[in-house]
Amino acid sequence: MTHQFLREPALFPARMAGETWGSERCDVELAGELFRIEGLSSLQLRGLAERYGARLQPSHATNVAATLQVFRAPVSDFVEIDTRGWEYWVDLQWSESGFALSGMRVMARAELDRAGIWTSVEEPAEFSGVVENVLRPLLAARLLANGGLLVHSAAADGYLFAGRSGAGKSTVARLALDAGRAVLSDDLNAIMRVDASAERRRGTPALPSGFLLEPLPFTGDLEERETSRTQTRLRAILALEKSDAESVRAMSLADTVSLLVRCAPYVNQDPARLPLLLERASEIAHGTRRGVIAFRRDGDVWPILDAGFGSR
Amino acid sequence: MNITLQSRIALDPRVRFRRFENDGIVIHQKTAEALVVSDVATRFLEMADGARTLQECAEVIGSEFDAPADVIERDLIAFASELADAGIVAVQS
Repeated sequence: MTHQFLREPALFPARMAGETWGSERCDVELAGELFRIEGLSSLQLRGLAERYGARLQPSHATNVAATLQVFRAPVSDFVEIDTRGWEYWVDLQWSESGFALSGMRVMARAELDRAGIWTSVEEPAEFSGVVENVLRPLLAARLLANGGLLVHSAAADGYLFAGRSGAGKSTVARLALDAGRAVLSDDLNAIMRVDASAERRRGTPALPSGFLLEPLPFTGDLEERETSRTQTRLRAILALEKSDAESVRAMSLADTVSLLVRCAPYVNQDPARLPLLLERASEIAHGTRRGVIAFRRDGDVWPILDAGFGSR
Repeated sequence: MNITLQSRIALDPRVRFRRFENDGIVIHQKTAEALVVSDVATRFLEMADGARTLQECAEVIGSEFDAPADVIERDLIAFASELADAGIVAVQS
């Protein structure tokens, strides 16, 4: 950990222990899994309830994917930052078992099934942001470990438009909404594997094997209320290219794998996870139709997409 | 760094390289940038084992791709220099 956020990086918590904020707890559903958050004060719980809405449940489930314990940390542990004109990136250090993270008024240590969060924040809105800073990389690591992938992308009607900041994700998501298409998120989407034989054994309706897009509550410019909460089959992966006219062309396997690796936040910073990330990106790219979509800000991309990749 | 046809090139241990159909992807673990390289570059990187010289790599590529030997040799030296500058390969003269 560095001095960017912490006054004394050497004092970064070595163990998941400390004084909790309270005895409240809740479960948050993300990509079909429950993340239990414990040690909360009433105010902090309110912040999570406001942030996650129907995704937040009372903690009765026994099948939680990961438990996050929230501990107090004194304000004096953290550097005060002037955020005017400043772009916020947490400091993330990966290890074989998980990661350590520091950010504005937060420190965290996480493994795939548990995490400790030390923070000085109780104010509801800011606290939900503190937790989200930990949930996002934890979700990225869990998805990668479990056959899926978290991707910087907009997802609409089964099309995944991958790209980093400035690529046009929110623009294409807005075009999708204008065209009456269901949008999952304009910033982060989860690709999850469907194992048809496992689904049949569980007695759930048969789906062909392949990949699904799972809705997440992580949006960019869109409001969450504008997005759909229905998972959809992944129809195609598309790179975005701003242009004066709409067109679509094929994208090679290597270009698609490269795109997915570049757009897999958090885990693509971990050298030890790169082989698995390459493998996963390759699996997804192999099993999915691929293209580059050139589009205008005020254009209509759907006719050529549906012509190129099949109608609904 | 002066790279010649007698130089031997090896991928840096912090680099991941993999072929996908005709093209390849090179990822430097430090930056996580995923670079897509052409079919000829992919073939070259498959041979970048620190044992073969650039001359030997050029001969293999010459036998598999339709290009004059002097062009292949010149392009290979230029490409190897770019990769060395980017920290993707190590050069053993």
